[in-house]
Amino acid sequence: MPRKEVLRIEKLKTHYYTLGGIVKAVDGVDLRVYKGELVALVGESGCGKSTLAFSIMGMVPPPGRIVSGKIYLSDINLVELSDEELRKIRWSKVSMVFQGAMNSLNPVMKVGDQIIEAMLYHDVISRPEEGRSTVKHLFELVGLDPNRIDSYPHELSGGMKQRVVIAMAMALNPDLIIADEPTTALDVTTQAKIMEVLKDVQKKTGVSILLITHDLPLVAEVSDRVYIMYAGKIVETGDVFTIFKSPRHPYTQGLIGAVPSIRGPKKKLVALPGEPPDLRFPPPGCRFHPRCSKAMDICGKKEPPRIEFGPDDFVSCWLFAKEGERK
Amino acid sequence: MSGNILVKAVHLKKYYPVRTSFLESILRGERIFVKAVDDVSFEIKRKEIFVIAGETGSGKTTTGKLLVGLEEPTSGEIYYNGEKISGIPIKKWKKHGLRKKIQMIFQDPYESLNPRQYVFDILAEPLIVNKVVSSREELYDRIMRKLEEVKLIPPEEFAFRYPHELSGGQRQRVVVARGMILEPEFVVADEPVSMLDASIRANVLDLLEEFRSKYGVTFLYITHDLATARYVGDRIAIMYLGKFVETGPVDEVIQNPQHPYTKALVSAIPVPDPEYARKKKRFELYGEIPTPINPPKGCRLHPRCPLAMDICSREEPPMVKVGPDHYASCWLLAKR
Repeated sequence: MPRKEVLRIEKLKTHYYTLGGIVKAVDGVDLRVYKGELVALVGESGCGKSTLAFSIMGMVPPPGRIVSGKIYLSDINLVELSDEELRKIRWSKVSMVFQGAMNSLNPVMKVGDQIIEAMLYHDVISRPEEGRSTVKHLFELVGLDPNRIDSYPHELSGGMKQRVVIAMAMALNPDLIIADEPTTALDVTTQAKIMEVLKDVQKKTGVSILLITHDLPLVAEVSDRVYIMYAGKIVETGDVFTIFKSPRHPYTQGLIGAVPSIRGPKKKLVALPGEPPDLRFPPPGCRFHPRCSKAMDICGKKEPPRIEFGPDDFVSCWLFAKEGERK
Repeated sequence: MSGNILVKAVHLKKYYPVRTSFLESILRGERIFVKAVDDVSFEIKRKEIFVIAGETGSGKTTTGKLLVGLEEPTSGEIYYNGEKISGIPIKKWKKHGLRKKIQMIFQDPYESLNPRQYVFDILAEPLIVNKVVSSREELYDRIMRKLEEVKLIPPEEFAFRYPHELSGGQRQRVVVARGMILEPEFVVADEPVSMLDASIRANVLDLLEEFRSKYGVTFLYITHDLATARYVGDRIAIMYLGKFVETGPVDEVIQNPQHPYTKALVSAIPVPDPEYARKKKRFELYGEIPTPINPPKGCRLHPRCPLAMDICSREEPPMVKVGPDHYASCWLLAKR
């Protein structure tokens, strides 16, 4: 059964034109999210994962811009839209939950009114009173007491504010929520609850979620499919079981080998040597080769091909290329 | 009496007064306090990596600051090597030779290094202030050696750089080097890797282990992350609202938690195994951690605990032995 695509990104390049050089933060990324899926985009700081999120939202901060590629959101190519058209799609088709979003709530405005304001702006309602019942429903959806609609942010705990932010992201019934490190800086118990809320909202509404994070254990726990991003490129993708049980790319293997777990035998962790590259001057060939223990001659010379194992299941690594191709 | 015990805390308390209006203080008739650390006792053995783990507001960082003299306890005593140090004001620590022995490694490599100093000067300052080097050559040698030990190699290349010229992982190594430059016996490491990317955390954690095996350094590792705690630690104390709720060998506490709070904490931690994660049953508490101002009476967890009984809201639970060197403070475990 073909699944409905909610988001399709093709060969996207988003670069920052800084005085020090061109930062190739997103450099040829393909990514797909289907309806009702929770897809994780994993990478270390500075790999370009947040820039990818900003590109989808049409909010790449200057001096950055989308250089080439396509971003289809249910068949509309966002890259071609004007700012005004984007503004209409933003929040109604795709919304975002930011890292620390709970601190971006307006402190002098009731939380319910902040959601109603967004609905007014997008002409879903014409008078504020019409929005109240919707907001109450949203609050129930995210497990908040509907009477909290007239609370101010300071009257709510961190976890409750995070729920308000999720309710706000759902206000216009979007097809996709981009959650950029939604639980970083929260305590583990709160984090677990928030992820449960997101999953629950997804189950009830069928919204797709693109989770952007560096937290591998979290990804293992909540996601259906995973994209691994390194230095502006997707190096591997697959379903969550394949990625964690039999990772193919040496970078994915390295990441998984570097993360301690509270379960299983205590093992010696092997940190990846070195640091991610400066994206103004990425290494030639495979961008991971200076840190890779399995690097061959060709890795430093030519960009690795994409080896497909199935739909939405590929790795970009010379190790998987046929002998004859490795020259 | 000290023997194998390097650090000992006895009924340690740290209360911070809450500023209230004059009227309010008259109406209330008493001052109110944030009870950051509220009657905590523990011992840290020589060459041990002891972990204090807890969530935001549990009092774990305050406990660490008390041990290095950055805060003075409201009451209770701290013994170091059998000697009472809790009465010694911080300004006299240097005179007593304590500064050289007890050091701290801070969390944020972006904020805890002076941006205007070379790495060399950052490391030279403690050596000069504490008068432990007698010549420029010795100063230079010691700094280079320490940079090598934290794997900033070649050291000459890193010594004359500013912090902003280093990556996050390299900065954190400088922070570790500064904590270790006086060759202390006891080091409090407060979330030393929480700001770093997962792929390089293990490197910095391994440094602690290396300093322990090479110089016999004793560590107090403070963290909210039980997975790294398990990786480096020997024994652990789980802290909630200013109190220890469970202590024991790290693996034992994490694999076989006895206190409801520890159970909830452990079950909330994501596991990098998708199959297990989908089967696992979470043990959940109600609500969120309350403020440490006027914490709940009796057991501090009782308003959030699904297993709470009558007695939990009335009386504080005793510490109960639940296994070899494993203790938990819960009425469910107590014989009544």
